[in-house]
Amino acid sequence: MLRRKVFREVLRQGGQAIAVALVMGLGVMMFVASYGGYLDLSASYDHSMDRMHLADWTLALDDVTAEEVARVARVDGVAAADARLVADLPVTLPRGRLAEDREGEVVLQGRIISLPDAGQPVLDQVVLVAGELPRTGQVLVEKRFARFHHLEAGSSVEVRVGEVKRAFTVSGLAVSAEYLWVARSRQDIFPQPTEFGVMWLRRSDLAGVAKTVGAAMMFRPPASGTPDAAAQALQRLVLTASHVDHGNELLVDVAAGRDPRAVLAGVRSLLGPDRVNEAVPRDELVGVELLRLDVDGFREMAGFFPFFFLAVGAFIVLALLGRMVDAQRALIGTFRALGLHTGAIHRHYLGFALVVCATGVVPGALLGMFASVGITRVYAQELGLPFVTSRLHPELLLGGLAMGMAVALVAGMVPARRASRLLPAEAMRAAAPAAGPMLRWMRAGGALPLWARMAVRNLLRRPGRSLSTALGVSSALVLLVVSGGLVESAVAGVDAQFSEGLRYDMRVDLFSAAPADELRRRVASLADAERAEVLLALPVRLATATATRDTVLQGLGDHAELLRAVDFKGAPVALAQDGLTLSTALAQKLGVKVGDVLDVRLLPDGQHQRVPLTGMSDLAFGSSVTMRLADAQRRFRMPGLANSAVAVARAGKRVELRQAMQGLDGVARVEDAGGLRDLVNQFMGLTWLMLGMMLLLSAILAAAILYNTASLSILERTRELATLRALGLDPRRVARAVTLENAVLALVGLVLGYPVAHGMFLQAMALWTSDMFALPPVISATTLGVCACAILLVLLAAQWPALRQLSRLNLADAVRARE
Amino acid sequence: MAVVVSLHGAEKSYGTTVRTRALHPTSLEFEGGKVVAILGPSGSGKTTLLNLVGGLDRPDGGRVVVDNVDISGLNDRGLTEFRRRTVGFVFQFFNLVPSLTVRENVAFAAEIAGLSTDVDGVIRDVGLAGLEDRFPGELSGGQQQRVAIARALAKKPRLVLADEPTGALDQDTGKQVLALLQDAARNQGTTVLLVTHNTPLAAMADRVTRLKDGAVVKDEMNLSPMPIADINW
Repeated sequence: MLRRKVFREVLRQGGQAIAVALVMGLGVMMFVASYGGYLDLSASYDHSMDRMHLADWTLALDDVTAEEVARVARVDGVAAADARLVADLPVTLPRGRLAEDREGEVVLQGRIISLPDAGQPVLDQVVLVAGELPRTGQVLVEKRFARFHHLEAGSSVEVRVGEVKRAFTVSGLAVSAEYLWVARSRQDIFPQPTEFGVMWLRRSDLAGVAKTVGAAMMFRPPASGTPDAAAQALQRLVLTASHVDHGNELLVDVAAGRDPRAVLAGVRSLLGPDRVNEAVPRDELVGVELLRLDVDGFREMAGFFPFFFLAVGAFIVLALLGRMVDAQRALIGTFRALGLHTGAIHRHYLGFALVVCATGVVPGALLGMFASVGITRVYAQELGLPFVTSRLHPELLLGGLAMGMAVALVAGMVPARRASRLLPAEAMRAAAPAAGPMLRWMRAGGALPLWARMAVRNLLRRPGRSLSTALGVSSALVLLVVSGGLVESAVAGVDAQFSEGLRYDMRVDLFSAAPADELRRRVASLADAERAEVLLALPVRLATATATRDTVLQGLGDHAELLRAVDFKGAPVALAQDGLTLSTALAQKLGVKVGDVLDVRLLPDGQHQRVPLTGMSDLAFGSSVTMRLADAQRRFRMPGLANSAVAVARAGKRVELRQAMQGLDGVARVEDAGGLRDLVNQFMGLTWLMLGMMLLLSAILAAAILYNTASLSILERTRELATLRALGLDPRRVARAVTLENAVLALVGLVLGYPVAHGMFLQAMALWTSDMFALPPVISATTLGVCACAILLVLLAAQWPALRQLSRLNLADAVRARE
Repeated sequence: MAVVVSLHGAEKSYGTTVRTRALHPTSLEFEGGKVVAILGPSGSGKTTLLNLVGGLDRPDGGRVVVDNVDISGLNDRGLTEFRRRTVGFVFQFFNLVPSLTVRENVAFAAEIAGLSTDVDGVIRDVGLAGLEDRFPGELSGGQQQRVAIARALAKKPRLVLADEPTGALDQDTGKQVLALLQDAARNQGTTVLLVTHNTPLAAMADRVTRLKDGAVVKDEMNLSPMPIADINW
């Protein structure tokens, strides 16, 4: 019989029960879907890396011979070793996508990687998406780059330096595990396909190109008269490539179960001291790390939001059941008087919590299980994973069910226990009125009109109920502020970086440094340039006692305005005399603070400097190291030189400026800041989608909480409010009193919720921060105001059905009911 | 005395699929300044009759006229206005506003009616002097019902409707409460409709209307009503 009562109670609670089921269901669904998605994506990624034999270590050297590779392969713990040539060289696409949009050819930087003259390499293999591996005179092109430029088998690509050109025909399209996320470097994680692309050539062809480039360089010494880092790197490449079996990257695969660091030590020892310029473990390859961060986002989502939803679900179960127990005190007393055992009463109310939650948890877990497969497929396609492993996860289904029901059990336990512990006589009396200080406070408020006094005192009369309502509002605020803050932070991060930090339209990087004044004049004098500034960009390795990081140091002019270090609010950060300014996330990664001294080694020639860290800047995407131009020139012995320029185009002349820059002598690449922003937005697409979904779910959840909060606070006082109506109080004044009461509670809830919301928001932000993504934790007063107003509005709207129900109530029945 | 309440063929049924007739077409007239006891067993229709007269419910047919106003044709707004100005209610379970003190509960009713009543005087009249600042939760059941009567009388209503006002009280306390209602009729000219299933109480009324199965079975004047103190039940 009691079971029947449980089901009828669930039906009677209607809207409130649906809201609880919805919240619990969403929580479990998010957990099963996002954790299942994470497991599948992670497995797919691992599988893809394994299938493509991505090396455990990538070692950058000036030169490594085939004989050394064979010896490395015999080092204890090494499963396989391979060498390859990698070069960043200018590439021309005569018939690319941009060439179709406007006249002329596109020059960009190609990362050209060698493949064996026959077949796949031992390590870091490629997966063909179309066409075939390159033969002599052919080039294999990375899939996204090819698609952007409409390249297909048979298209033409030219590799050139200055006037020297070598033409190749596209043999096919491919992906590689290392470049599933195409990043040029740790500083340039969003290179545009208009300026950077990855392609593969037969080793013999790449050697040929290098020789051609080298020959060209000999006839065109750097403008400064001093070979700079880029020129030196090219010269080394030429030397290395000139030997048939030499490479400049050594790939090492570690045998299963062996310590990679110990194996690396063995390899270093074999090669001899100072041979390895940089050793990057598989998981720290930029593209791999970025993709891993993206995939890990699901794990973080699975570990944060579902539990948050379930916690909120637990809270509203507690509130709903708690109020039900209060409303049924007399009934509980009667049950006890009839001889019902406390255990039966306990089980009865607990059963209510379980049944209500199960109606949400069971479909939520099932939906989540199927959604995870869909999420994996969509996301894997978006990430370009060539090998996708997705399956249904019954273990997660069971886990989600168990978790949801455990939450229901714990939340239901408290009020169920309270119900079962009521003594029959106590239960049949009305709940004890407020006492002590609460009673004294209740007598206050004499200046208010009676209806307002009544509303305010109601809050004190049942402090537990009032607190639970306020906490409901707090939970809604936390949800909205966390998700709204994430959206705002992402927008602010992009804005600060692109509106205040990067204020130029175009940037041109040269192969060789040139006199700064001359370079500025050359760029400023371009017909479509309105304004230009120069800088010195130097590849460096930053080292502390415990960490190293390769990055690009940018020497910026004292009055630089087009490219500058900024904080998260977009305010410029002044560069101190003879010191480094690091992006905050990079400083955290290196474990340094202002005042520490860093070892700065110029790459690749190894010139060392000890430079103090004098300031911090903020950067949403990538990492940055800046110092004053004059200090960089002095410290790195490049007096008066610059190798990069940034410019603002005249109105409507961006394309023309870009073309003009590409025509400058010694251009390595031209970057379009507008295109970069578009690309960031494109890469952020899934993030926006995820944030949007979170905001939507949070809004639904907040609405569910507020609906329960508002409707329960009215419905549980039906008799009281009906009596007021019977006495002749206008329904609008009844509504006004209820609204005032809810509004006061909402304000209390907002005040209580704000510190929690802020803390949770910072926690959520910390989950997303790495040295390559560091969104500013921004919650503006506007966002807070919008969240607060939305809560108040939803609360008002949420009480409307209950007030309507009250206005339609049969007063005759309601006033006769016993509380 | 003028007729204050008159029912002309008023009837009421409940239910949608299965209609239960709670009150058959009934015609009655109650004069002002009288205590009318409406008696009958459970389900006889006495509360339905009270609800129709008090404007808490509308008749399905017929008319209900109170103080020369046909309330059966009033909309919600009109009924609210009617209840505000004309009727005072006394409920079995008191129905006081728990967050208002004794004085405030009484003042609230006067305020709703737009009257400036001597609230403390009314409270004194019901024997609650000194308890004005107590909350309902701090009072006994009898005291709470006296507050309910004070609340009803503070509006200076033409009509007080009391539905089982002693149902939740012991006999002595019940007598005190009924005495207050009887005094209101005698001293203020208020018509008191007292619904009860307690037959002995008929002796205190000026008129006794008995209902059974939704129909009036007896309606008679009591020419010598007894003081409530002499009645036991």
